[in-house]
This record gives sequence, C-alpha cells and structure tokens, in this order.
Amino acid sequence: MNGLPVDVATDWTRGGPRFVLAVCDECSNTSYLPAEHCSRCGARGRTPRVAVGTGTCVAVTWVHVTVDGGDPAGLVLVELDEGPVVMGRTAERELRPGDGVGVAFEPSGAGRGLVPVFSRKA
Amino acid sequence: MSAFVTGVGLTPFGRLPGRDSLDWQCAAAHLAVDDADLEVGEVDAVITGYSTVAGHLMPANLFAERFGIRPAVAFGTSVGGATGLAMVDQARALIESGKARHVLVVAGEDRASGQTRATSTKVLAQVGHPAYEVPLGGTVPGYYALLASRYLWSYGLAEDALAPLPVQMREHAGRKVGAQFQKPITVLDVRTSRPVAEPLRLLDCCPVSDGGAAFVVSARATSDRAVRIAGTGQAHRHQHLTAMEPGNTGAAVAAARAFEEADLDTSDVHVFGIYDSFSITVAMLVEELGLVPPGRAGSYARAGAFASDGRYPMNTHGGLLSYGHSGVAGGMAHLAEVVTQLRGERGAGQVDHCRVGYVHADGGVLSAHVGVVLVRGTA
Ligand SMILES: [Zn+2]
Repeated sequence: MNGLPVDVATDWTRGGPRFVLAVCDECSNTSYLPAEHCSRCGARGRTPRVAVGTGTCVAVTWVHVTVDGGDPAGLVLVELDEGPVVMGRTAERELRPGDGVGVAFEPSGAGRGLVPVFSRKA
Repeated sequence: MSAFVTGVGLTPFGRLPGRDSLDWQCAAAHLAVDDADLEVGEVDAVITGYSTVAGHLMPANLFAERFGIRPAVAFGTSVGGATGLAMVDQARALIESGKARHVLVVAGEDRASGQTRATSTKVLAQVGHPAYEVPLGGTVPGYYALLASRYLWSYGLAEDALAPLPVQMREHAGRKVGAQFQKPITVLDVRTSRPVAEPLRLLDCCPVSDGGAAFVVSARATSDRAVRIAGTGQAHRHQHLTAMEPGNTGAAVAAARAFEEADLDTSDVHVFGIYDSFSITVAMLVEELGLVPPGRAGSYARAGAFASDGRYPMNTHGGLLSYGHSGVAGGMAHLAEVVTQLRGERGAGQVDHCRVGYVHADGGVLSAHVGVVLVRGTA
C-alpha cells in the first residue's frame, strides 16, 4: 500500500483487500457489518480487527436469474475463523458447504472496487 | 378494549393487466368495507402498504383521496413482507388507544404487469446490504437460496427435501378461487423446474403477481362474523442476511410475544397462515415456531401435516407460492384466509372445528417478523 501503514478501516468495500471485523470492548462479540452498538450487549466501544481471510463455507448458491442478466453467479456464505459470517463470490463449481476456504480480493468486474472471492484451500 | 377484524377483502392474484396500484387498493378496500357492512364514511383511519411499482411519499393520503374518504389518521408502512401484519398491529393499537373506531388497512399493486421482471428483481435485491452484499450480485432468491443451501447441509438433507412444501401449497390453491396457479404439481415437477438460484428452482419460488388485499379493524364486532385479534407480536433482529442468527431469526420471539398476549400457545391453534415466499422460508418459520422438529418441515409436508385435515392446516389458500405474491397484499392474503376459515366460510377448503388461528409474516431476509393470533367470536 505505497509503504503507508495499513488502515484497518479501509476494508474491501472501500478498496482495501481485507475483511475488517469489530470486536466489542465489553463482551468480545465479533461482528462484520457496520453498527454503532454491539448487537449482543449494547456497548459502544469496538476495536477493529483484520480477519485472516480463512473459514468454512456454510452455504453456496448459483444465481441463474441475475440482476444484470449475465451468466450464473456463484455466491457463498463463509463463517470466518474469527466467528462472523461474510458473503462473497466463488468461481468454483465444486465448492460445497463444509469446505475450508480462503479469500482473495479481486476486481468486481463492474469497473469499481474489489469483491471477496472464495476458493477451496489447497 | 379488544380489536376485531370485521372485514376482509382479497382480490384474485395473477398476471392481470389493466389495473394500477391504486386500482387494486381500491378494489380490495371496497370488498373489505362491504364485508364489514360499513359505510365508507365510518372509516376513520387508513394505513396503507407501499407499492414497489408506484412508490410515493404519502401512500395513505394518496389512497384516501382516490378512495374518497377523509380519515382522522393516515400513514404508510414499510417492513417488507411483514408490512400487512405490522399494519394490523398498528390498527389494533389505534383501536385500543381510542384514536380510531374503524381502521382500513390496505395494500395492492400491479407488480406483475406494471414493471419488467428485471426491474422487479433489481428493486427487491435492495434488501441486501448496499455495500457488503448487493455488489456481489445477489438477488432475493439468491439470499434465500443461501439459506436453503445452509439448511440442507446443516441437516444432511437431499436437494428435494423442501419440494413437498410447494406441492402442498399448490394442492390448497386448487380449491381456492382467485389463486394464480392451480394445476397440481409433484416433487419431481419442483426439482425439474428451471433453476432460479440453486438449490432453489422456479417452483420453490413464489411468483410476482398483480392484486390487492384489505382489512377493516374495528373497536366493535359489526356482525357475528367478526374475529378478535387476541395477540400480536413483533421482532426485528437484523436487516441483512449476513447479520442473521440461524435458528433465532426473530420468528420465535415474535410468536411468543403474540401468544403471550393471547394467553394461548401454538398447540391451541387450528389453522395457520405462515409466510412462504420460498419453500425454505416456510420451512425455517414452521421449525423456528416449534411446529415441527428442525430439518423436518419437508417430511412433515410430505406426510400431510399442512393439509386441511392435517395436524397443522396451513396456507389453505395456496400461500404466496400458489395463490401469488402481490407485494404487501401477498402477506395479507394469509390473514384473509385464516379469518375466512375461522368464520367457517371456506367451503371446499374448510378446516373442521377451527376457532383459533395464527398468522406469521416476515420481511426482508427473515428480518422483520410479525405474528397475529386470531380467535373466532365477538366477545
Ligand atoms: Zn458487546
């Protein structure tokens, strides 16, 4: 990143190749989507944590009727090793729930930003 | 003070071009007001659901002017598929607070004829997170397909495990005038229909429909056909799929709140109306509500548990899967059906000896939940 320190706030939705989780300072609940308070205990204080990017695939779909009318798109839910579930893409037809997976952040193809793409761990 | 459903209006659903959103709303409202045996001038509050085809800042005012009434209270509501029952909950609150005597709850749209399927898919996909989900290319069927994938894997089920649910809904629809689809289907038909978002196939998914639905909720029974709203409960635990807790989506919490108010429980219920946007939706709901064990909704359906003479008669109008899904009105059809059952007016599809009904709807991706307990009788 041009020698600059990694800004943990810059996750994939803002162009940074990473998942950034939030760990509750009070109850250690770890969450993914932005929220002002911990959904478990209501505390405000959270500490960002960069996810390693590995986990277990828990759901796979191939979307045939796509928003843009394109080819079937692979979509997955992955339970990260840190706990939270994230949504991502996959290009692997063989991927099944239960498989261990790792993430790569790739250009979305829509001309803007990155998206998480999961594949089975070698 | 109790609140009563005194009137229900449900139009046929389907691809029925020629009416716009307000036309459908008015058609359903006429039916409901007539059913309640009221003059329109007696309606003193209006609550309306959104239309995805004709979005408006002030949908209740828009409707009231067009219908030709001047209520003391009017507002729109928007909690996705749970909107219809949320409006009933609000109507009941207006009645019980004394703010209104007769509340007209109404929704309808030309969702099938008034927009292209591509537009419909794109509009509905916005229930996904705009930054974390929508850019990945998900759709509403895609989100529910992820739930289905996880469900099948969690319980070690084959891909046809959910198919008996749409088959049962279709059988019900065969005995309901106005249903969009009535031709019987089999498990094989479901599994060989074209994939929409694997593992969900076309027949696992509700259609997009034109149609309307309306209720009158009143402070007094206007006839001996009135049905009492014995309890209502809501839960809102997440918006986006990524934030959902499997097994604790809010369905059970909402139902528990409704049954506690009614001083009843699910074992007291004779007829159910459970939101069924997809086969997986109704499976997850009946399991979280505790009607059937986890992972067993499909096998219970196959055994006839949700038939009119089964242990849990459910969606006897055919549900969203076969009666059709006209947006907010789609989730209201379940309540219209349960009221009709409790009145003993369901004809060929009548459930014997039914006195207590439970209706449950969810919006988004099992995000917003509303449950309503209904009891026959005017006391
Ligand atoms: Zn916390």
